[in-house]
Amino acid sequence: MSGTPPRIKVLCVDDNSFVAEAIELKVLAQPDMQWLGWLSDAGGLVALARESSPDIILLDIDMPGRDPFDALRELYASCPRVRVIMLSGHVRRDLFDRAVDAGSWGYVSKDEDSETILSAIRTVAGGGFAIGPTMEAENNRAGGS
Amino acid sequence: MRSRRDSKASRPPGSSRPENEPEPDHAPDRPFPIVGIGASAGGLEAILQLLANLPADGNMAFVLVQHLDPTHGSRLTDILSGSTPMTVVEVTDGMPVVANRFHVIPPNTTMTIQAGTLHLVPRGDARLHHLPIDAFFKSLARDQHSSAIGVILSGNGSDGTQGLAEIKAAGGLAFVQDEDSAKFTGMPLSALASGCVDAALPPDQIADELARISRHPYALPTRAEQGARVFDGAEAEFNRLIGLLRSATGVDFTQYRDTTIRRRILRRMAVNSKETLVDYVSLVESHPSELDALFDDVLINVTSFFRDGATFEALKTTAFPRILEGKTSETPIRVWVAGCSTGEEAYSLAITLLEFLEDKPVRPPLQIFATDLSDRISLARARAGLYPGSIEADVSPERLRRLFVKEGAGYRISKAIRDACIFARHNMTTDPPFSKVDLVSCRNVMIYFSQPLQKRILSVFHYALNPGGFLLLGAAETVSAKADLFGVIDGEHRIYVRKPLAGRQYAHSTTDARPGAQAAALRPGGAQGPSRFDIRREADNIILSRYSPAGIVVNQDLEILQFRGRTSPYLEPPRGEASFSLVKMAREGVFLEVRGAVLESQRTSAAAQRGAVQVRDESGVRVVNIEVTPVKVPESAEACYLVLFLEVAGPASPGPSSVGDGGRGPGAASDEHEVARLRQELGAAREYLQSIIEQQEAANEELKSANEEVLSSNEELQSTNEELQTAKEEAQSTNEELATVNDQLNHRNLELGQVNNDLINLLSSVKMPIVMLSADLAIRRFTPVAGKVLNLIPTDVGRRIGIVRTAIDLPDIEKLALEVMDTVRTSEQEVKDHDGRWHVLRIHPYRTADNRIDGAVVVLNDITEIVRARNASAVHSTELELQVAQRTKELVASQRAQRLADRMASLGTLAAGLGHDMANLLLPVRMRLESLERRTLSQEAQQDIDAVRQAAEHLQKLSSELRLLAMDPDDDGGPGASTDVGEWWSEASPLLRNILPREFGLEHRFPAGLPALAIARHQLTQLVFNLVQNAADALRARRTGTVRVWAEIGADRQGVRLGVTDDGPGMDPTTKERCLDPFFTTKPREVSTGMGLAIVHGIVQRVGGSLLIDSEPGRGTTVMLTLPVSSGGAEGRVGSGPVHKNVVVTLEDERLREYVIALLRTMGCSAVARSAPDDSPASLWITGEAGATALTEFLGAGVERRVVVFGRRPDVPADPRVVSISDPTRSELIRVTLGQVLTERVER
Repeated sequence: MSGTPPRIKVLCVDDNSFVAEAIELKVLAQPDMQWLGWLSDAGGLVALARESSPDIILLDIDMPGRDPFDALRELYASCPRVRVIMLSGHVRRDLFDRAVDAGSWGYVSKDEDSETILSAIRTVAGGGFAIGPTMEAENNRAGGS
Repeated sequence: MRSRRDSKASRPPGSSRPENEPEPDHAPDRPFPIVGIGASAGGLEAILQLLANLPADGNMAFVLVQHLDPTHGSRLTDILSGSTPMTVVEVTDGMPVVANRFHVIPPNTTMTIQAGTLHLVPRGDARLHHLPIDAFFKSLARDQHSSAIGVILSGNGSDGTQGLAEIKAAGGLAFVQDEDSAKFTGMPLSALASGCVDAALPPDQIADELARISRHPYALPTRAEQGARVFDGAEAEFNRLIGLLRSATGVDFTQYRDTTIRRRILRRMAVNSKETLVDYVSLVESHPSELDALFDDVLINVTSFFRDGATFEALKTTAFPRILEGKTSETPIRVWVAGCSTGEEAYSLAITLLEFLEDKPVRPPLQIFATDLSDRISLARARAGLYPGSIEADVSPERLRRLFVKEGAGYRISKAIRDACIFARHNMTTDPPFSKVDLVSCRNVMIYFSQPLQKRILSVFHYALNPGGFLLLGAAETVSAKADLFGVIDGEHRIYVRKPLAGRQYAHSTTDARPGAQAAALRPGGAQGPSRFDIRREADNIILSRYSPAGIVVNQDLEILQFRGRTSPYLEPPRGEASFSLVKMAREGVFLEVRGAVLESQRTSAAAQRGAVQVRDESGVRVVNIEVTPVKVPESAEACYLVLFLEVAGPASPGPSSVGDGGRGPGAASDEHEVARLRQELGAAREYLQSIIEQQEAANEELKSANEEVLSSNEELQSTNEELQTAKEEAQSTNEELATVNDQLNHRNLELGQVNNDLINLLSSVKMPIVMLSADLAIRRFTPVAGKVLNLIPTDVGRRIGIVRTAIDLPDIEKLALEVMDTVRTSEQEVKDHDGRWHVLRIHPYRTADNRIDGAVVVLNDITEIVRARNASAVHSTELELQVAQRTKELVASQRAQRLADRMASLGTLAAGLGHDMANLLLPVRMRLESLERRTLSQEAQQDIDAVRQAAEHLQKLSSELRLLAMDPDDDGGPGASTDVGEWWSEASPLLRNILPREFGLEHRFPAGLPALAIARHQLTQLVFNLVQNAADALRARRTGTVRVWAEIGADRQGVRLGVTDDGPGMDPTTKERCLDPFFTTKPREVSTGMGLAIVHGIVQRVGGSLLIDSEPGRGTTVMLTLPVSSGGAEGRVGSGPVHKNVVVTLEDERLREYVIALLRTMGCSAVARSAPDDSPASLWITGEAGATALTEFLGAGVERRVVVFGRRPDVPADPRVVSISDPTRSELIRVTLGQVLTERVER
């Protein structure tokens, strides 16, 4: 173990290649992060996670193919150390709650800028729970039920 | 015997013998018994059982008559072959019966047996009663007599009963399957009921019995053998048996045909398993019931209804019309049925007579005396008059219907026929006969009698019959034994008429009751056979006729029985009616002397003489000696006397002188006068004596006939008495029944009393006026309430309702009640009483238990309240109708609203998807731009990038707004919503701009310091969006125009006025008034949803604002909303902010802990994770299991502190400051609970 902490290994699951490639671009620019690649659906996620043991997985919700929450549950059962942040175009309390219940460590809207997304990665990698500002606002909207 | 052969020839074949003719004495021997087996439903099982137990070498033959389906072939033969070593064959026509072989009837045939050979005929008309078992059994009885054995197994109906009875009557044996083992008991029970069954047993035991009988002398091949085995050397026992019978029953069977008796005794021995007569006699002596059984067996006689039916038709034409002659409706037709057995003959005659009399003007009553020796079985059944169903074969359906009553499976004779018949026990050989009878029927009885007895019986009948009366005999019987008494009327049908004969052929004497006396008396006459040539006897006769004195033989009554020699000098035929009476025949002078001598002889039992009797005849006076000698006839009690006239002197000259000459003494001339005087005196005395004698004779004669009549009447009385006894028994049982019925009636009375009490209580407790009317409309009963309401008093009961003045006017009540009774339909009417109260008057028909209408029930029901309510409701109904119309309209509108809301929902989904996709695309755009910005680029490039970045940000906002637009307008986020209008405009205006065409202007004017609105952002967006869209629509026709969105603080500072103004064409007042209706639209349907203003109205109402429309045609439209102001002010945040700023979290689960901390921070708290509570100023502690122990301590440190516990924890104290989250796996529950705890919105 050197003085510098190990880099955060990031994996992304998104059906939209523009999103994935933009994030790849950002992650590659971060010295404390390591890009493991991206998947276009949640189908092969568990196998890949076992193989490459990522620290953080950015997981889209609204994707064709396997239900991401289902994949999330399986993932935590087999790789309990992996932490997943939902990165979604939706800002909805119900999806937020489902993500938490399924075992996710954070929920960040795609409306956020890149710094917010990267900081969420760092927060979760550092042991914290990440809630993006947009999602936070929606959560705190009066009378949230 | 000759006559029987004659009759046989004259009768059609097939009925060659009368059914119960006794077995001919010289019948051919039958080598083995033939067992007829009859079975029907359920019989196969029984047959198999029987077969399994039958010996294969029992020297018996078996013939099975099974009811079979006429339309199918039978496999019966195959089935039976398997269960017996015997050969089983299906019968073919003409097949002889072979011993140890089992013969089976083929389907659809009727089988008979004749001379040991089976004959088949196709079954007749299928609709007719098919009784194959009866048919075969009857023929078996005729053909085999005592060698016939009948067995009836399981089956329904009564087939076989008559056949079995005939087998028994012919001396055969009869078995049936017992009730317990038979599947179907109809046939066995029917046979049992007929009384002809020897034993009822299960099939296997029947087989055992058959096996036993096959070894019994009864089954020996020849009757000689049978006789030898049983009766030879047992004459003493036989006579003892006959003696027993005589003393027990009074019937002397020595006069019956020997063979018959012997066969019956043998039969009883077989039934009782006795092999020798000695055994049997001892059985009889120890069991008197067996004597009865033997007696019944001997007397058994099978009859049937309308036997030899043609005979009855013949009677109708030959006998009955002559009987009817001279009858009045008072003088009865008297018929004597001697040997009536079970009564069929008597009933048949009664039926025939009644039918004959039907169309006759004079209908004399019928008296049918039916008598039989045995009343134990036969008469009892005759009196009951109940016959099995199989009589259908003998009695026509028409007669069955008219004269019988169907009872169970059988028929009972109708009462009219039964009453015409009197059944009595009577022995015609000894008991006094009936008299003045018009018709005697004695069929198939005399054939059992010996010849002398037959003669006597014919005399009896002759006596009994009226002059010209008729005698009906059986087919095998004739009057040949006494042909002088009866003349033939119809030889074929054996109808004879009484010949009017002088003298009595039958002299009844009580001594005759001694058996044998009469027979002995008659024997000498009967024994006069063809005499052999006997010289000595002929010579004696000649000498006797020449030299013997004249004489007569008289009996005690001085009736002349024989004349011997020339008796004319002493006797002469009397004048008037022919007579053999000595009194009448004797010439002058003879009678007194003979009578005196006979009396003397009778007294002394020795000869008596009278000397010098003077007899006067035409030629003069003879002097004779009279000698009377008693003649003893052996075995006869009646004494006879031989009277001989021995002539002393021939006839002297006529005249008194001649007498004087004969008695003249010497020197008596002086006495002549005296003699003449004495003679005259003597003559007078004689004449006087003669007249006295004649008078006495006449009186005697009268007495005698009176006595006979008394005897006959006595007999009748006796019969009637027996009848009365039976009737008395019936009356007794009827009496018992009546007692039972009486008990039941008493019980019913009690019940009725109870019901009556119930009814009275019911009526008095029913608070309803009820009046019951009888059929004549009189008041029968009324309830107390009815008394009050109608003003009725108890004395009104019995008065007509129409007359009684009731408190309610009921003008039509009588008419109505009659109508109800006629139509049996309830009538209903509303009536008003004198107090103004309304009642429903209901009139129901009064139904009795037997559904008869016997009056009416009037019920009143107070409906005053209902009438009032009805009137009131009539007033309201118009309003209601209006309301309903309104509601209907609203409903239609809401249906349209729902349709369009659905459309809006899909629009929302579209907007949401659009927002999502835009966010997805904007993320890479923005990130790439950031990357570009880091690079050192030219000024121009930098400017371009700026422009792109700005566009992207614009898009970003648009995307957010799109999402807001898609949100549920009803989701107002609850209390505490707050939106700053300026901030909102900056984000929402790009979206709004897009609604308007480019050529239209969108202006806004918001004053500074506008307070935040108490409305959710998306609701505000949706409000303004709709209003702008409406404005745009209004302007569409104009091509140019401006839409202004403006806001100002309300006049009373209670709210903010938000307006959208267009300079379009404006609205006319009607449109303006209706424009808030959902779906009201001025636009073409395809363009508009019509929902715009309605949605706006809905949101405004929900947030507690108001809406105002200001529009005039040509001056544009302003929609102005007044919206409440937010009490907080901070935009989009929890209204009042968190109460608890410092929170300690001690959750074990790392992710859960971090999630809670993150949540708390987003809610504005500073949350820290600790392993346990400490002295930090935290006022809220969120803990899982680890912190449970320190809970009390933490809470005790300060009153304001609160705890949230994750998971169900039993050790958590019930403290209002502790909140539990029962399910920590549910994010929503955690989120909401924490939000409430932080803002202290948790209910304590």
